[in-house]
Amino acid sequence: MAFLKGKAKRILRFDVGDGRFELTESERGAPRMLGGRRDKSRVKNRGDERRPIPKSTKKLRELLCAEFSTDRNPDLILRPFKVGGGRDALAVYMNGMADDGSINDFILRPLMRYAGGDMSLGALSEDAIEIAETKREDDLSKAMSAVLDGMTALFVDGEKRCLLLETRGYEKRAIGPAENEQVVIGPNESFTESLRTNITLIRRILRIKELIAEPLPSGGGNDTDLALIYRNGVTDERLVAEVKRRLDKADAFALTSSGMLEQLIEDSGVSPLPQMLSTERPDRAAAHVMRGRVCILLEGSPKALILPVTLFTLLDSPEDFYMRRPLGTVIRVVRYVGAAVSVLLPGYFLALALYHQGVLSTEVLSTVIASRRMVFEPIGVEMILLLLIFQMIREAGQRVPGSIGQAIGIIGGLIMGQAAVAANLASSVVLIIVAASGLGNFCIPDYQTQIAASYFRMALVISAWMGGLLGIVAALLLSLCLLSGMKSFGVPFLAPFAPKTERNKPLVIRGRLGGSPTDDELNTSFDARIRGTED
Amino acid sequence: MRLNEGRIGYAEGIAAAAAAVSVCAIFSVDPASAYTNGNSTYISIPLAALISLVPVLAVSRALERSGKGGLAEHLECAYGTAGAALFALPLTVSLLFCAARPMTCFLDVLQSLIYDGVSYASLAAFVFPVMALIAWKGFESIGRLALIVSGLLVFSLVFAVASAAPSFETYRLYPLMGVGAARFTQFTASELMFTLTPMSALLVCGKGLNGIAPMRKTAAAASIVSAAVCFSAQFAISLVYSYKGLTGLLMPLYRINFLSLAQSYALRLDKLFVMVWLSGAIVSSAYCVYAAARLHAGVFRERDITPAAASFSLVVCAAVLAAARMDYTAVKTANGIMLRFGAALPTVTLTAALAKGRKEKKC
Repeated sequence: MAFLKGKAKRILRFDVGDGRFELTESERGAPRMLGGRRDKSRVKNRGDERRPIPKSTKKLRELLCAEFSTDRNPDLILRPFKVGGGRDALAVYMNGMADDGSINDFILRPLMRYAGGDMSLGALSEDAIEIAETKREDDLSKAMSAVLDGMTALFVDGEKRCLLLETRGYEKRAIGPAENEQVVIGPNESFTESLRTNITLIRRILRIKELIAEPLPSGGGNDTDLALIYRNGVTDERLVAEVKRRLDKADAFALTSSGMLEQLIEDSGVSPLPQMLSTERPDRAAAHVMRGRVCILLEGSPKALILPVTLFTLLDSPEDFYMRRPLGTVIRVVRYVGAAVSVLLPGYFLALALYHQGVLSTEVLSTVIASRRMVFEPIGVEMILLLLIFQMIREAGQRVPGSIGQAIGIIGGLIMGQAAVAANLASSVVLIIVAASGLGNFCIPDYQTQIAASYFRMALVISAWMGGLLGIVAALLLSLCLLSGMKSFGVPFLAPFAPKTERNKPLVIRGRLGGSPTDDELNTSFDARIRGTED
Repeated sequence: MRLNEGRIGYAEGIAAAAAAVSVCAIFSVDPASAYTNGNSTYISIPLAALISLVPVLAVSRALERSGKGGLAEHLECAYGTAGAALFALPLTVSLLFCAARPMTCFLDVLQSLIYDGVSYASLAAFVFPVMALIAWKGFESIGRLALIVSGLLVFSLVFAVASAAPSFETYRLYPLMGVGAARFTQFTASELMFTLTPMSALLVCGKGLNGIAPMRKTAAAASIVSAAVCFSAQFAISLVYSYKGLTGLLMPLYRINFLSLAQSYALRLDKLFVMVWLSGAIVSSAYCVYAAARLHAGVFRERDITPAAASFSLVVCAAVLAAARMDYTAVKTANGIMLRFGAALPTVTLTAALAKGRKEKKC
């Protein structure tokens, strides 16, 4: 009854804040239309339940055998032995996750041959064990989480605590070149699936003491780790706290990719545009961290999530800054024009061809008419079909291995296009428009933004088909209205243009290298220095 | 809370108010009253834009004294809910009229010059849902959209004016200031309807502008910017067309392109320019509808503006569709009365706000 009452209250009333985070505005967000709660408390897998470590290693062994079903699950290795031939001890590690050689050579052998009198954990750690990183733990849950992560837990009979020893040594992919964010000038390394390696890749670029790589539980049912990377003193503390809050609330059955994590912590789940930048380049991630953004690395995912972002961040390429200013600026302008052409051109052409022929010159109009003379379907259908086929070719090209993918692109793009025109299934003018739009789409550096641009393009084509320029105006205003209301971790998505911020660097023209982090529009917004927002 | 106020900066506030004043004052001019006896719009409209700043500043002082962040709260505090509703009603009506009037003019232009033969309702179906959604999304979105659109709006106006420059003739300004001071004053006073109302909306949205002091700066800048824009546009029109030629002309700013750009590619931008101006009109109308909804919510102490915004959007849509059929005598009469005496409506509300703001009353 109370549940129903609460539900009804939430549906009927609008004054319940949903705790949406905003850095630049103090107005609280609106609750959902049907009163659903956004924040759900999740059941944590790790660290929720604190358990003492049994003093008897025999008892502990039985407990772990039962918990891990070692009769069916031989991966958990429970290695009983005697320290210096006297005191009982138990080494626990996961087969394959920990390095057997290190365990044999630097833990078991020194401990078995230990001749010292003091057999306490502290003494063993200092005098016998030859592992660089050791940590004492009195919580069995945390100790077993560490074991699942590849560490070795050493239990000694009669001790309430154990030693966690760094023995992680599982197989991992080597660092390879970036495949999706290639640059001509600049580094070519990309992230791997190993969290430790990825942190190292960033640390190698940012050798500063302010760089924090804070390990956190990811919130997935599979209990993977993640690292929150930020620059202490430059990154806004409120932003870091908000990211942690959202991560704490994140709840997924299994978290295997940063894309899943992104969905769990983003501001708006229905927006086609990403609210975080997903990058495989350590140099790009490092540059953003340097400027005060937060980077999230997830174990098992070769992508870093950068936040907060704006639309203009998504349209930037690391190469803009690797080239001299004039070249970087020209490339950036070309990219922006490409993005605009990609979104606007098909709809605009359709509107002119269908409703406002007077805007086209006689020559262009006669070319359009001549090319469409034998095409049987309406121009709107033709445009939508060709856009869909273009998307299909692109999708097919991405899903198959490299050389075959290229072949699909050539067959789809050239041969099919030629054949479609010859068979009067498509007109050459519309084909050129779709191809130009597709080319412009590839100018957008971010993959998710490319897909979002194609959604907007399709919406504009349908609107133009329905209402010509008026339809385009309606669709554009609607899109801009949605974008202007969007936020990425409290930062307005169209900043620094709308809202206007005290950004020193120009927006489209590439600014000078150097300068302080406060040059960045995000930092100005953190300081509440967006004009007029000082309270 | 679902007041959707957000917080916007100076640039967005100025863009929202100046775009609303400019769109109303440039595209909503009634040719019958403005051009019948000579053309003085290039002075009277900018003058009205500057004059409208005075009451806004005065009322802002009253709001400051009462310690209230917005006009609605100030009225509610001063007169109680019933009294505030009574005094807020004239401003609400004038805000809705300012939302409807430019849309009526633009739909007329669309129907007669761009979408020949398409029904008014079909055109409205594209415009009003967008306006309603923007109003629904609130002040933050309106301000940011206005900032985006205002750049295009200014560019298109400058381009249209510059392209007509070869056709400028100073003799067309005759008779200067229209025919007599009385008619000039009368027209300026009637134009206050389209300048004072959008400026008063800033008083309603004071909290969204981060308080009274930033709101005052925003209002001053918006008033100057809109006066400059209105002067440029109306002065160019006056130099291109004589007052007799303007009397029967639908949207003269659209027509001036034809004079000098015939046979050139630039001529083909005319329809695009109308679309840019229409975008400005949609955002301006949304701004007025939002302000009306915010005023309503403030007076009745409601925590949600969306029902009012949706209802007011429907009212504006209905009014525009009714105005499309000007053969209805009632509609024609109401439109005429509003155009002539509409400026009295915001004046009533602002006077009421000013009357109770003299004393140091903290509610």
